[in-house]
Order: sequence, then C-alpha cells, then structure tokens
Amino acid sequence: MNHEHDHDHTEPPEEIELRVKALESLLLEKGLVDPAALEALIDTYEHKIGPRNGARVVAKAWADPLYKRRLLENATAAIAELGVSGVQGEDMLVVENTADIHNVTVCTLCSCYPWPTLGLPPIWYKSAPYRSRIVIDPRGVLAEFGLTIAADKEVRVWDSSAELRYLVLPERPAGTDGWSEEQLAELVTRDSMIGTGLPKSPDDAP
Amino acid sequence: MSGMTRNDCEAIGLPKDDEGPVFDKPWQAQAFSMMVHLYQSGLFAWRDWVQVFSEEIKASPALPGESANDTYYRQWTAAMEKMVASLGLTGADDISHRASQWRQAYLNTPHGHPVALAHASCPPMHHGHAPHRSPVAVSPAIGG
Repeated sequence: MNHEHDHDHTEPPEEIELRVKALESLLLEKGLVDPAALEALIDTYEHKIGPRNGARVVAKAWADPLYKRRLLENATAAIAELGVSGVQGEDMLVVENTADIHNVTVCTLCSCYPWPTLGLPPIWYKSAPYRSRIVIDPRGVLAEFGLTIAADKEVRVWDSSAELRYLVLPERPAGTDGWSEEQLAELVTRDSMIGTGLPKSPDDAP
Repeated sequence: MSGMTRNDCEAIGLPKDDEGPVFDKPWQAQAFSMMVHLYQSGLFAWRDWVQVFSEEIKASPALPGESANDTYYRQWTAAMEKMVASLGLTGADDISHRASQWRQAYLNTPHGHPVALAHASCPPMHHGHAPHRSPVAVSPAIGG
C-alpha cells in the first residue's frame, strides 16, 4: 500500500458508503431527494436535536402542576406547547415515576425512540442485548446501569413502537424547592427520561 | 451515562457512549437522514419502514468484531435499499452499478480535488491534461 505517496487518485470510501452515495444520487436524479432539505435534516440530527428538549418538558412538569396534568393526559399536545414536535414524536405517552413505580422504555423490535424530545437513541438502546434483556430481567439490567430499584417498587417496561413513543417523567429530586425551570432542567439526564438512570442530585448541579 | 462504569457496560454487553453525537461517520448521518427525508415526502407510512427495518435487524444480527453503530447502520442501509426497491424507486442492481461508478470516480479524481460522478467516465486533468484550445494534431491537406 503506497497510497499515501500516490496523489494521482482519491481513495474510494468503504462499500457501504459508496452504496449510500449511489442511492442518494439515483434518487436525486429522479427528483425524490431535495439536496437542501436533506442537508438541513443531516445538520439537525447531527447537531441540533438532543435530550435538552426533553429536559425542558420534565422541568416544566416539575415546576408547574397544571402543565404536568396536561402532559400526563395528552403528552403530544403538551410537548408541542414548548415548540417541540416532529418525526417520531407524533404520538407520545409520558409515564410518571412515583415512590411506588419505576418506568423504563425500550424498543424490542428495533430502536423506536422519541427523537424530538430526546434526540437520537444512544448506542446501547439500539443494541440487541438491551432490547432483549430489559424485558426478561429489568431489575438486573437497571442494576448494571448502576440503578438499584427497591424490591417494594414496581418496575414497568414500555415497548415503543412505530406509532407510540414514551418519555419517562422522573421524580423531582429532593432539595430543589424554589428552583427555576432552567435550574431544574440541568438536573434532567437523558437516561433519566429513558428510565435507565435518575436525575442528578442538587449537589451535582453546576 | 450516569452511574454506569465501563465494567458495567462490558458486563451487560452494551457499548458505552455519552450524550454526544450518535453517528460515527458522516455516511451514517447521510443514510439516516435520507430515510427520514423520503418518509417526509409521504412515500410510505413510518410503520411500514419499522417493519422492514425490524425484519432486517432480525435477519442480519451483529457480525463478530463489528461496532454497534456499524451493525445498526449496516442494517439501516440494507433495509433502506429494500424499502426503496419495494416502492419501485430503484433496485439493488442499479445501486450496485452506480456504486461502482462512484468507486471509479474516486479513483479518477486527483487527490485533493472534489469527486464528481462524471469523473467515472471522464477523468479531470488526467496525466496533466490541460485544456487545449487548438488541435493537438493536424494532418495537412495534400495537394490543393
């Protein structure tokens, strides 16, 4: 391989990248791809969406009991109140953690996930071990995430689908009385909204 | 990922990540966004895509030594090819043919120059070819 000394050609990328490029150029010729719209989508998914939208939803629900009621009754509409909506967020259900219940979400078939509120799923969410094991042994898997659920607490596993996606509403951390929504949002982690983690405690806040 | 150590991840067999980007390589973002773009143009229902994608995940699980994202986007891309074929948009043979054209286009493009599909058949500035505005050879007329 003397390629580093050969400037007379460009090294082709791996086969799968060539196939993606091939498909894109074929669809472009057929007028099925709008390059500007595609670039905007790529930019959005690479840089702009993430779990911060979900954190705003959770923080508002913690701070505003009326919003929380709307969120639990019609999550899609309540989330849209904050200007958050889009593909894979068309039908949302918010499930509330309480002193007696811990909720955790999965997509057993593939990787259905609420993109507008949480961004794209973490790698482990898409992996076969998580997809199968969280259903078979939820407490064991959560323990491997460092989350031990008390034996007297019920654990509910929710299986997302093409039609319906879930967001976990974690319990508001103690010691946050009088905090603003912005301060509260800093405590909300992505994993706490999937159910594989808890919000940060006030001591960890920046 | 809060409270999860590398050892925990190894125990569960889950790849570790933080809350950062979820694409390893630009083509993964490209493949992902292209499917969403096609969906947004109303060509199919999302549940139909999920069915094709789920079947692909089941039919071609992770290969030894493959990273989780490599597995995921290999399955995603294969499912996308099946989806566009089932919609009659373009077939696997067309994609293979075009992919080999792109490969040739890369090989024909001098390092550091933008790669264009046209280079597959017409290499730019090959072997120092500058544009000629006069004939490179003339066979003079005889007689006259």
